Amino acid sequence: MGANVVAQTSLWSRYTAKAELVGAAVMRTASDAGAATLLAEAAGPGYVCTASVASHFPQVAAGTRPSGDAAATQTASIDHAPVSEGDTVAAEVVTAAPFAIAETGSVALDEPRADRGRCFLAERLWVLVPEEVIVATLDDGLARLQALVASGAHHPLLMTGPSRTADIERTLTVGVHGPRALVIVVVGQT
Amino acid sequence: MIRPFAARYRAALADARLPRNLLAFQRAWRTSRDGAFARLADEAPGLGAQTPGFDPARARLMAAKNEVLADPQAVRRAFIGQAEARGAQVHQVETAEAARRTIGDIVRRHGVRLLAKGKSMVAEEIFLNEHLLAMGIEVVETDLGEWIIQLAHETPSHMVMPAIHKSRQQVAELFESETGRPVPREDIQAQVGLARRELRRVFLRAEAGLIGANALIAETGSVMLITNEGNGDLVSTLPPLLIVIAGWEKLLPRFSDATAQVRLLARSGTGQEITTYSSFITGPEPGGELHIVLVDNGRSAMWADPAAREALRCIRCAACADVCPPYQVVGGHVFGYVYSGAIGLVNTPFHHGLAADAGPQSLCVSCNACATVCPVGIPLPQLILDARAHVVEAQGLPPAKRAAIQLWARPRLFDQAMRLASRLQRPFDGAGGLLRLPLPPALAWRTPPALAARPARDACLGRTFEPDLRSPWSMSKARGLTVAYFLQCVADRFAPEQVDAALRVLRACGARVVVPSEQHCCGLVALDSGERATARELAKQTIGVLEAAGPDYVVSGAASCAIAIMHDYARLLADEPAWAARAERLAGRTLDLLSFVARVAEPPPLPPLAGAPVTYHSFCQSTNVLGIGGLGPRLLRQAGLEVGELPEGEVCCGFGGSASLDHPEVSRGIVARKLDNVRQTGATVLCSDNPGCLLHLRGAAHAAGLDVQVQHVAELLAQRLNA
Repeated sequence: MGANVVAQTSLWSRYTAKAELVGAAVMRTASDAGAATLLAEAAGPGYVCTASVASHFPQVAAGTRPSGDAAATQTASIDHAPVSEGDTVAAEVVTAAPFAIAETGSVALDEPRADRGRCFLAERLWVLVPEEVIVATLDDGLARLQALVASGAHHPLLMTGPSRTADIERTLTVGVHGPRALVIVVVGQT
Repeated sequence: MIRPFAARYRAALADARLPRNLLAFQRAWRTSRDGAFARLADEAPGLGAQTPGFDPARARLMAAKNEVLADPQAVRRAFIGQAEARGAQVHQVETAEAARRTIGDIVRRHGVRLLAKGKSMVAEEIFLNEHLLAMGIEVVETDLGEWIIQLAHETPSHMVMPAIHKSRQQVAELFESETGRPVPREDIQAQVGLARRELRRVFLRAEAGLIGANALIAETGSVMLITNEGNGDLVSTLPPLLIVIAGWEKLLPRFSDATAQVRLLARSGTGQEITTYSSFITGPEPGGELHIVLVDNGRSAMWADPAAREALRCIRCAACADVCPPYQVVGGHVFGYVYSGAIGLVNTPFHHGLAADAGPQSLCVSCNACATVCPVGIPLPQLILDARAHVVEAQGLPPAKRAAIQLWARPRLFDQAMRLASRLQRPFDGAGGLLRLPLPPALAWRTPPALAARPARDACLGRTFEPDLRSPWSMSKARGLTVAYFLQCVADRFAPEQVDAALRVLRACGARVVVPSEQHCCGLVALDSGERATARELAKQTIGVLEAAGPDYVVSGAASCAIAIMHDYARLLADEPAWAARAERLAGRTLDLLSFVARVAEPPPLPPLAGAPVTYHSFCQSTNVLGIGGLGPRLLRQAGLEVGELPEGEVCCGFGGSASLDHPEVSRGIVARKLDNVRQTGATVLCSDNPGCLLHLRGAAHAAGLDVQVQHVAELLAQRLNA
């Protein structure tokens, strides 16, 4: 094994330890096709993909309704139509991360407005990460974010675990406004 | 609006749940925060992190913030240039009124009926919500803690945990009133689920969102937002109009500076390693609008004051509140105004006026714990004393205090008064150096100390004591040195046995001890009270007396006085350079007794001696200012004594100079925590290195019926050396 592969493996095991500590689930699959199968089984038929998934993981995107074609009601839900109690946006949303950070167990997200909204409103957010895009430190990660900003990103972010609060009696509760569950799917290069 | 201080104070004291909640919070925070920084130091270097630990991250963030403070206009211009180039509209507003008006105009122009609000201390600072509500706009807080206090019509009691003073039952009642449906009283998960459902509609319907900023990055014009719940990103994503409100002190020069802040903020704020979401909002998205409102509201005045300027580095982590003993007793509505914790005591005069700070600043006991955890190294204890001096200048001291300090300032008059008091007190003398005096219930929690029949000075003033060459420590490295001893008023008048013991220990180390005869008060009492003029006078008198003795070292068994000489004198006399120089020279030769013994004398270990179980309370400033918290127990163990560890041993005892007289209820709350910890050890001897703490602890233990002997570490050492 080349030194890079060893280093990468060690970064992913650090990553996984950190991510799991904050309540994210981390899964591995060997390819885009593997990811598509995994999602079909675990997320069910109703999952919605952001546009970034369509460009990097075509098989995953093919397996479901991509967000650009999302049912009109779903888009409208985000684009200002009044919402009543029964409305939902997609519960299972799949996105792709430009990179991950081993130091903190974080993934980066860089989505335009409507897709980002879908990610944050999801009950469970699935994040596909190519295994080769892991970096070691926050320093590396912020440098990558800065590069995204320089090339036009408006709201790139780091996401570490599902949403949480301890505002009521300091009792940690997972799942407030953002996704209740976060699943990282590390996709190999086969 | 915010109620008067006295009303907030009474309400807090009447709330039994509040100090319990805050104590649990402070303990949990301490463990998590320390663990998080320990893991950073452990793991990050191996990964190649640039700031792998509290100290390097703090140094980096301080440097970045100081760069901003060196030329705020330039950095502001750079930020605005970049932000505007990305399509943001930036508004600079000087006053709170202008800020409210500007935001009001933006939302009115856009026909906003519902505003989804993320958490913003600056919005609280300028009382924004009332203004928007008066315009007929519905403003809904979406951060869970902020929503709770919005429903309760309250202000946050903590900068990071705004609803920490609320119980789950109270939250359930608030949610019930709001939704008109029953809400489970005990089920926090269900309550959070309710908030998720209710506030979802706000995210989806609001025409505008408003958030604060954790940093404003000049290099790219980006707004950094650090959150856990997801509402901050929803509020800044779904509505087409986004308003960011921030104090300009949030500026950072470059993107990479933000890394240090990300490493420090969550660990300091909540004890997490990183929050769930760290976002970098840069320019509006197609079809959207982004307005950034940069608020001054007194920040320029802070900047113009070279001392207060340092407080502009603040990143609002609230660590200063999380280690604060009086904050634990009374909470943030009392220990603060809008901003709470030590930083609130410093910035309130600039944002809300001196009068708003008069009450809160009086609660600080100067333990210095806040300074040890501030991730940007703000000299909070000194700045709080500065605020105190300004309050005293403006409002004067209460007559009794003024009279007491005036008396203290005159050595001969003070001496006569103390001797008279000692005679008048005879009928009330009790056992163990305490008085037998009927006290009102509000004060009965601490038995007052008795003045000694003969003050320490009668036995030693003006005398020279030769080294004790028979002592097992007489060949220590202090052999042959001359030490000038500073008595301290408290030990001199109330506990001469502590002075006697200290002199014995010094002589046992082989030193010759001189006790300068003109010595009086180091001025700490006046400094602590905000009475700077008297403090300066007494400092000069003390410097003159101790210099004249020409010793190798100046030592005191009163760590508080030693620290005043070492750390406060030069700053106190800063605008008189000749005196400041003399203060620095004296400081270079002054040590507290423990440091002298451990670091100068370095005596040999002594064989073990069985005795009563001992535990040790380190004077808070010894720990927080000198960094010698573990030194007392270590020396005692070296001398062959067994010392059990005291839980929270470094937390203040609540004496706080005159704080125990000004705010007896708060002092009582703090000492109760200390005595609980002492009880847990099963020790029958409680030892410390500062006479003020010792008298306070002795009186409180006696009133609480706790059977424990309270002694100065010098007394234990002297006894050991004699045995």
